[in-house]
Amino acid sequence: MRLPPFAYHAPDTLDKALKIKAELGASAPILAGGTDLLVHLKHRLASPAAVISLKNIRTLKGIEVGADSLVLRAGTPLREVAAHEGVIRNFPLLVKAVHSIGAVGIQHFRGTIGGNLCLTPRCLFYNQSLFWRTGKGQCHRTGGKDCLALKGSESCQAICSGDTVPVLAALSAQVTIASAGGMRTAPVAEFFTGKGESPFNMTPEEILTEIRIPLPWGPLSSSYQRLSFRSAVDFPLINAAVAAILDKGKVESFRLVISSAGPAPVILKELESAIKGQKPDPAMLQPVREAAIKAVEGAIIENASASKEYRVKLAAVAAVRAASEALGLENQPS
Amino acid sequence: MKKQLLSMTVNGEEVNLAVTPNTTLLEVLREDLGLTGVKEGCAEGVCGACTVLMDGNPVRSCLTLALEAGGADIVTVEGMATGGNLHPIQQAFIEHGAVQCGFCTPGMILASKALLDRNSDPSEDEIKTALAGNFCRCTGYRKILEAVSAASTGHTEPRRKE
Amino acid sequence: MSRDEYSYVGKSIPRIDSRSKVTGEALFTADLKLPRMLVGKILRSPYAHAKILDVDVSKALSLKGVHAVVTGKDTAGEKWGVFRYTRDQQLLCVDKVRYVGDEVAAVAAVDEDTALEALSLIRVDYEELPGVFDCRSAIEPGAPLVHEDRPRNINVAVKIDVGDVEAGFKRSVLIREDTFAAEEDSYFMTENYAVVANPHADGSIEVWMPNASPHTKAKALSNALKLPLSQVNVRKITIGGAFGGRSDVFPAEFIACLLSLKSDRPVKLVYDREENSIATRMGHAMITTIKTGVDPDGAVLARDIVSYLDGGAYSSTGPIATSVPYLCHEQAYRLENVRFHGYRIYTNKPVRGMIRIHGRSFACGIDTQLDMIADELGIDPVAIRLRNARRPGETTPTGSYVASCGMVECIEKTAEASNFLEKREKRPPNRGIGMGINSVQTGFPLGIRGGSQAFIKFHEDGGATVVSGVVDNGQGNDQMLVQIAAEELGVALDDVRLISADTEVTPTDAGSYSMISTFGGGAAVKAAAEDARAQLFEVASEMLEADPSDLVARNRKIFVRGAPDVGIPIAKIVRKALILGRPIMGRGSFAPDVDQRREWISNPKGQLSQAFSFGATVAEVDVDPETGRVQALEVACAQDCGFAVNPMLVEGQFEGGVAMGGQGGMLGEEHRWHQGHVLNPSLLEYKIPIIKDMPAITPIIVETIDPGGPYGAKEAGMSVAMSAAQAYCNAVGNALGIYFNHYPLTPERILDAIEHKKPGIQTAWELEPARIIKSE
Ligand SMILES: Cc1cc2nc3c(=O)[nH]c(=O)nc-3n(C[C@H](O)[C@H](O)[C@H](O)COP(=O)(O)OP(=O)(O)OC[C@H]3O[C@@H](n4cnc5c(N)ncnc54)[C@H](O)[C@@H]3O)c2cc1C
Ligand code: FES
Ligand code: FES
Repeated sequence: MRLPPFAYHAPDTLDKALKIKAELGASAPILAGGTDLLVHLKHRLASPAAVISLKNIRTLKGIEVGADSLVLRAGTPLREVAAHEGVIRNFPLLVKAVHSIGAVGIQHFRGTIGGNLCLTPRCLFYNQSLFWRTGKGQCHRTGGKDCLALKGSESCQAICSGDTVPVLAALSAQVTIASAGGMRTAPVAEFFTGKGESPFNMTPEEILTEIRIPLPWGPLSSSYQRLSFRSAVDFPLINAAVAAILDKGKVESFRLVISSAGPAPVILKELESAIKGQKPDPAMLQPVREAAIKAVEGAIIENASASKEYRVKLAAVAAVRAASEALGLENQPS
Repeated sequence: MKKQLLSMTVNGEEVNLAVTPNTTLLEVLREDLGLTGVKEGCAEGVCGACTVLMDGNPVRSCLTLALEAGGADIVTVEGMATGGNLHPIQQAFIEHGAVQCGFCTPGMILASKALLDRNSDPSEDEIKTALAGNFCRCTGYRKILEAVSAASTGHTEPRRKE
Repeated sequence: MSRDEYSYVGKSIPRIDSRSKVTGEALFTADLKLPRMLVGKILRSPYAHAKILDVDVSKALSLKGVHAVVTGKDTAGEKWGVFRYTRDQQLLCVDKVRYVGDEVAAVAAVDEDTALEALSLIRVDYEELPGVFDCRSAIEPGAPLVHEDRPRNINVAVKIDVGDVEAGFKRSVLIREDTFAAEEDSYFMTENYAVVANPHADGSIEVWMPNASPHTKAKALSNALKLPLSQVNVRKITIGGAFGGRSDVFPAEFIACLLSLKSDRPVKLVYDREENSIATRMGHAMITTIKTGVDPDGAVLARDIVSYLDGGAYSSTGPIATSVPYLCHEQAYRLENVRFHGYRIYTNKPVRGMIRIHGRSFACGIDTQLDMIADELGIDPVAIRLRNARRPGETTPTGSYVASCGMVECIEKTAEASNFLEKREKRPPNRGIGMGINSVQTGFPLGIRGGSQAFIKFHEDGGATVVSGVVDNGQGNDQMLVQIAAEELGVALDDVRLISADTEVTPTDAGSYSMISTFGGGAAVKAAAEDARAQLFEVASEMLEADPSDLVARNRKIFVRGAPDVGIPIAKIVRKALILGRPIMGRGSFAPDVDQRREWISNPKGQLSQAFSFGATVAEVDVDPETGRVQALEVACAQDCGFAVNPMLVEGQFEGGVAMGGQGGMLGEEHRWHQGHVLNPSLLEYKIPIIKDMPAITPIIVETIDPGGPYGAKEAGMSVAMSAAQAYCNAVGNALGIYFNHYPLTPERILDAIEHKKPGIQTAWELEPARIIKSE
């Protein structure tokens, strides 16, 4: 399948890349591993003037463990993230999430952590070929004014499908974003707009440079759960992550994030205060289930390879499984 | 569209050519270099038929711009045999009946090589994980699994006979 | 002869074609490159149903680099259909498009980008029409018609009525009626369809494409192009799987030829994955209502079945597709009184063909209902199958004599290997074990191309070249032919060269559909080799001064039985024969012993196929009751393949059958729709199995030595694929205590059934029954 024509830039510094970005903006997307971008281009979901490859920018690759945080540079291949000793030691759930992405040969060597976070939200009516879409009319993202999956929807409801998204959000990671004008940081949770047509709080002139995960301040107890049809290759139908600090038998902090529901990950905020300070107890799981259902019911629409109802059910299952693993309740009746 | 220069090593030989930026590695290998052992099964990264090794790592050539391979060392299935001798993985695929229609075979073999080069004695689960992104519609995967185990160093039983 | 006495047949010998496949040397159609070759592309309808008002190609024609453009005007509405009475598919649409993907125009240009640009310059004015997208609404009076001359959108109606069904029901102690449904499935062979056409100055044209019968393709092309058959040469090429999906003739091969003739240059047309999904063939969606009456022991006394098959926009193999699910079942099970009404119904969806597990709702329905009956009667699933299973020497309801049949053995062996009864008794929660059994034909007549012929010539060094029309889709037919030839000629495998599946050179053959390659093509090669050997013996008998009937050919020598040391090398005999002016030229043929008067619709009785294969599969699964996800643990599959010419290849067919029929076919493979648009034409969203999810498989080869097959061989792999679907279905049902009647069993459906679980012995969902359509 042919790609549309575009120019190719492979600058060797971030500054040069930012300069090109400042000039070309949205018409020059970043090419990290390309495992998502190239599929979009082939489907003519974008026909950019140029692509900017991160290939030669050394400073955008690598992982560092600092005193209070672990830094993943955006262009680091997923394989390196999952194999990094500091990641394995501190964030087993991130390792699990990375291992869940597609399959070894698809992403683990080419795909990057930055690309996973910036993965274009997916929709069964959008991620189709140009031919397929010809007979269907245009949607919010292809130049139209409606949503093909949810008629009348104000904005695009495509699904944020990256495996690492709920994990990074649960770990309260921060993103660093650069532009020709300078750098800024933002919590991962705020990186997502909730609108499929412009999913990230990032201007077309900006580049994601790093993801900073604070090192846990106490004993981290965590879980990553993802449900998909096949045990590899497939995007998650739903995924959920819990990061909790469990100290002396008490939950000192608790964060549960569900993703692959709508355009942004959903943080189950109200649970955090309810569970904090308590001893892990199977009775906590029912509220988790209820909160999960409540949180995703508004977010999930009929636009994935499984029905809306089913995905809502899965969200509850994933949330409960993540919570019970993180809270050590796995073999206790709920 | 302006062409850009691309140099890389393919199956041990240095290759220099000019390509348009929107050319995939798959297209260069198949069309410019005639390496049609690189198969296009889906063109969107799913099936693994287009797998090649890039600096020893399995990658989807259909999702890799040719220019991204600049300076890289590429191995396709045509580069597996040396001096007329098949690579042990190729031999094992033949002997174990792991080849039916053969369309998935080049990708399977390269994904297996990437695994065995890194881990010469993988468990069954490790093989399954490494090959999870390579689709085969004919074999039911059983004989592929047997072939890869047989080609690993830990394999001590006699090769399948008859 | 017993297996040990053979040199090659019956042995697990690596395939002759595998070396070129592991080195990347094997060429598939898309790999071909010819001088001056152009790239062809097809413009397809984006609408499910629309009138074509106007097609304007002028802009495309004037684009630089475009060498030919064709539309319906160039084909004058020429139509294709497998049978004379089912010719309903225009090779390029003229008046109307009937599904999303229907061919409207095509271009040939210097490269792909130019061809794509040319397509975008073609202007087609459509008037959209309301469409029909499922069987039930399509047969409603007043529904939009896909073909105006086909009232109620009925494409094919098959009626079979044997014995006295009403009387059988009267005698029954238990009668059940249940309805089963299945969605569309698809082939997803790894190689996408492609075609290359190469015109020559002498007026002939060469064509390459993945196919299941080169001779059928050539015949259709010759008719459509109005060229003599000898001038349309379909060449041999490596083929990346078929599974039924390469059997039919597609407009694309005709279009590629037209483009190449028009431009006077070779044209290559390669489908992308989406085109391969929507514009070749896919499996039928199907609704089946089964009413069964049994005696107190569970023996079936009467059965009445009505099936609706969603056929899509055109007939394709319609009459065959409509009948085969029923026929497989009447072969597998003894039945005296049985009635079948099958309707293939047009819809505005892609065209449906035969697939490896054709008729999931039928086969799984029969076996699920049998388990329900067994539960009502307190009989175990093995016993009720044994009670009803086909035995050798019997005749099927529509009149096929079954010469060999290992159904009982397949059932017993899989039950034993899987420890079926014990596991069914004692199992952890949410674990289940299930059995399915089935049977397929080994070839059914398709007119003059029902048989097969072969030639063998010898080289002066004692090597032989076999010429056969049999095509290899990937299953290993080439290897099978070579093993047979080497066996009969007494030469080494390496001494045998094979020329096959090239219509200019090779004689006709039935094609690799209908599972006849070994039985028919193998038999023809065997006969040709026997003929060549007899000629060798003639000459050798003079040299050895022995009677030809005392001679043996083995190890490249011919010798008197019992005296292998004084043999003469075959090479020497070949040369002697040349000098004597009696060159060795073997000739053999095979014509199946079937009732040529049998016809799918007008006369569905008589010997359908000369032989039948039988299979049983047992699957054991775990179900996650919270998500509905199924993990298959172990599968045991047995098939009576007559005789395994190459056990390793046969096992490979079984294992592939489990993957496609059971793991994929029952757990997840289905197309999903939005009106006429298939939502999952891609390998990402259509869920074929991956290695990680496959269970352990125990293949069990059962041999019954069919009197008509070469060495007793029949076919390998199809009965397993079908019975695997049934086994998985019953295993999931057993795990949950639910009788499933809507397939495939996606996690979503399973969860829905768990949540709405009904008491007692009834199907998971109440589906509206399929009924006889009155206005026939
Ligand atoms: C068959 C298949 C299966 C897949 N399965 C999964 C799965 O299970 N789970 C999953 O999470 N993903 C999956 N993916 C998607 C994708 O491969 C991964 O998400 C991968 O991590 C993306 O990384 P990349 O570097 O290849 O991204 P790219 O394709 O290079 O980039 C993705 C997007 O992010 C933008 N981008 C990338 N880096 C930056 C940056 N530094 N700054 C600003 N923008 C940037 C790009 O412009 C592009 O729009 C799958 C893809 C395929 C083809
Ligand atoms: S062709 Fe590249 S993954 Fe299928
Ligand atoms: S051998 Fe045919 S796809 Fe693997």
